[in-house]
Amino acid sequence: MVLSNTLNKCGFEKLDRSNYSILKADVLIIGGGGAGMRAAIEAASRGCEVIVANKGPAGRSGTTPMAMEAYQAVCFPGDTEELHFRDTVEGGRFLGDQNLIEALVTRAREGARDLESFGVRFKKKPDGSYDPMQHPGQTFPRALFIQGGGFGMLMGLVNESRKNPRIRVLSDVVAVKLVQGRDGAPTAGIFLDLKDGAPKALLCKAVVIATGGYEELWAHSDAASTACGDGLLLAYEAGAELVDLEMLQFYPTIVIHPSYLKGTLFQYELIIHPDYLGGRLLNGLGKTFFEGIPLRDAITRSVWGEIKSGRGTEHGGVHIDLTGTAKSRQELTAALEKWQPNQFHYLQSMGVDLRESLVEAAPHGHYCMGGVAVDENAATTAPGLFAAGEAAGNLHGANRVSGNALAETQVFGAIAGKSAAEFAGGRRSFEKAGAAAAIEEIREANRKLRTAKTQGVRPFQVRDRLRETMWKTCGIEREAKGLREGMRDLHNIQGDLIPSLTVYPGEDETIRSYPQELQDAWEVKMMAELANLVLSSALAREESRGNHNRLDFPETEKDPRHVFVSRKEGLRFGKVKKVLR
Amino acid sequence: MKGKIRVTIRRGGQEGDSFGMQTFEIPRETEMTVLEALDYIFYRLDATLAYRRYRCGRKLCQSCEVKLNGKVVRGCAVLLRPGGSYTLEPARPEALIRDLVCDFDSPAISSGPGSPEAGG
Repeated sequence: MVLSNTLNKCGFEKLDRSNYSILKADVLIIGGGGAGMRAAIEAASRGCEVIVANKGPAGRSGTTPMAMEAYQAVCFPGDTEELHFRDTVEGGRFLGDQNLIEALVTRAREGARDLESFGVRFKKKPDGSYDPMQHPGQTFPRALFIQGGGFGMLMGLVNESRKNPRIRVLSDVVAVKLVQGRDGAPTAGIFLDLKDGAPKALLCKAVVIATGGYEELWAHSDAASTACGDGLLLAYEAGAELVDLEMLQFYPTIVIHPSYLKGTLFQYELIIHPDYLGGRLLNGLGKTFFEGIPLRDAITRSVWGEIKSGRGTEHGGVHIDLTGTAKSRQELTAALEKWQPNQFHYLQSMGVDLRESLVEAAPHGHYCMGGVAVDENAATTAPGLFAAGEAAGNLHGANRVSGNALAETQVFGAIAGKSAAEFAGGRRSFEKAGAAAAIEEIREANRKLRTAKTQGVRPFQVRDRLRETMWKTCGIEREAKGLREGMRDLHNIQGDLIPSLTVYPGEDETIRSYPQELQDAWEVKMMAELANLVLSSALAREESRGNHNRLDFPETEKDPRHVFVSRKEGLRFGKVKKVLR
Repeated sequence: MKGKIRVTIRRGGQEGDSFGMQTFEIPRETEMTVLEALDYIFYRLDATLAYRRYRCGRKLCQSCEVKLNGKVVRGCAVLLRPGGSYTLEPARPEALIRDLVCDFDSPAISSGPGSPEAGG
């Protein structure tokens, strides 16, 4: 193999006589965040060759680096797994599958210990024990504090993965298709390699989807703009069932002004808790408007109520106010340094000092409880296809409790890595058959995108319209009329705009590498398909539960039900799994 | 002149490939970050610009690093002022992919992702 061009920089081989590039590994993991990297470490420890394909630079992109510090695990005297289980079931408004919650609570501690062995540091007391926070929805302090937050956690995982020669991490590759073999299991993933702009194949025997959420479908989100749900759509197309897609968690206090700080999360749990920062949330009239420390779904409704009723701030939010805290300036500074160091420093470096001025914040989409339906082995309903982390569904139910997301990445990442390794071990050889045709298909699609059209539109124009539609019709409050409007607009987007997408007309040779606009086009195509499924799921759930507020169905049904959607069966309702404890 | 931010960007691939400097003018009355300026250029002025759009929201990830007037900065955390003229170049020219995008997998960037405690 001659290492001569950018193509070979990331290790793809140009096979003899073929006109395409290929890499192979037993287990292909799509997404290199917390769950994907943990899955890689697990599968490699079981002897598998593993490739982690990441849309951006490994460790410096995606959802995990944006996560806060909390990792929920039982560690406090008197606390039990029973209580963690109960808190999660109740916090999720009884929609989380209890077999998954059981796995989470019994293995979260082990996950934290593994992280420590990878060099991740937790906040500890002088005696060496964990120094957890207590977040709303936790009977005991249970939020272990990861130094550096999600970013710090991911650094540890990436460093650990580099020690194992069986793990190969690829950056800047966008998954666009899964190829399935005769047995229905995946045989390859097809990727757009941003380094040279060409589609490439990764042959594999099992796939783990760990692509994070799909918050980018909504106009206001604090997630990465790459969180388009592409992994969910790949799974759906491969025959896997998706679940509870309507369940988007909103976070109540995302900074909205000034423009360059928009999307920065500041934790309300800490703002209003007297033991942490001792501040307040104030409406535009300077008044407090709720009692206690509600869970995320409830406080989002309160904040939204103020904004909707015209009692919001200048830019349509509420004020985070730490200026009235009972703490001295020294105590407040110490508390900020201890509990929100990164946000405090970032805002300060941008000229916003939380100790002296109010900051405007509003609810944004924050976490997708919906995702690919999995069982306790992280198996989807499609053979050879596994899912973990935020990309998977049915764990958190209708409302995620703080700290369970990072714990989920480690517990289910490890499970998915094990399951995928076992599945790959049972498959004899790699199957190259479908890969060439799939690459040709993607090349042809790229050619079409690059062909000039009379009414050509740029991907971001379609994306902006889609995101506004989703926010307006499937946001914090929903009703049938609006959801149907949203579906009509999506119909128009898919019928008129998607076919008119135009990327670099005239096939400009100088922009073969890092074709950002081409990535955007693929993303928005997938976003439109997924948005349709989200709207149908939201319309099907004729009740209000957790983060799903139907103005036309304000009651909560007595028996919680999942909304499943798959290619084969369309929409169906299904039971929420229960376990006896 | 006030009400405009002038941004000159080094375009193109590695040395040897064709490259050159290109200047854009952004109408603007208030400060904006480097990343906001690049977003403006990409979305309104030139769809072929390559830069890393990701922002971790806490000045940790380094993905948005660029050279601003010769000094490496984080694009999410540096403000450009109306009336100002600025030059942007890739932060790591030895690992350049195109325009302002560098390859974090390149052996030229040898330090790896760094300490797990970053920022904590």
